[in-house]
Amino acid sequence: MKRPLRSILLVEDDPDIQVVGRLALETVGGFSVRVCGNGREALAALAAELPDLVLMDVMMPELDGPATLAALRADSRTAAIPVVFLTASVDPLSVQTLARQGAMAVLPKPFDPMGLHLTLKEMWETLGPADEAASA
Amino acid sequence: MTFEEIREKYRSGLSERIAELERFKNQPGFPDASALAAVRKIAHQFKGSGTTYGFPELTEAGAAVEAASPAALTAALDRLLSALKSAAG
Repeated sequence: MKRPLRSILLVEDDPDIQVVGRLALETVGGFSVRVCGNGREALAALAAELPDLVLMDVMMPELDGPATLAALRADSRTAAIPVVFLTASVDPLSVQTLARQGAMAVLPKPFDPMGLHLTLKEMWETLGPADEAASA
Repeated sequence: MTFEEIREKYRSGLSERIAELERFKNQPGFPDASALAAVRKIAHQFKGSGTTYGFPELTEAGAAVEAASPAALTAALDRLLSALKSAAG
């Protein structure tokens, strides 16, 4: 049994995608959403509160997506947080590389703002972590 | 905010991006390395955001600029500017 997907940290440097991403996830999807502009901001935000899922761009200033994922995996507190990449560069090699680095999935940009929450919920049902309380 | 409201905000912000791209294009020596990187970054953003906001022509034109060689950049950028102006109304 999966624990429900409730909270998402969106890490994205493009202000236009931040706005439509928040709408898609919070208003349409009903998730609790925080937004950060790059990986460095995300690591700081994660020090305060852990989300169920990190949804992250690949190309970002200061600290990009793969470097942020590596930092998350290197810290025992954040190592198990599922990370999904949201990227405009979804060639098979890039997707394979991100998966090898520990991404749960890679979603393409552009995306459907009205359907993103459904995609994430379906993905969570298949790939998300088990509910530890239910399995204990 | 509704999707229609944020779409309108996105559309109304395009004129600023058009001016930014035209400034790069009109720089002497365009495209030098820094202008090339800056224009490709903006194009990459339109590739990701265009269809998301209901403007697939911006995704297509942005992808073409991002993939263009320096020699083909000006023509691809002209097509992106044309698409942006059309979307901006």
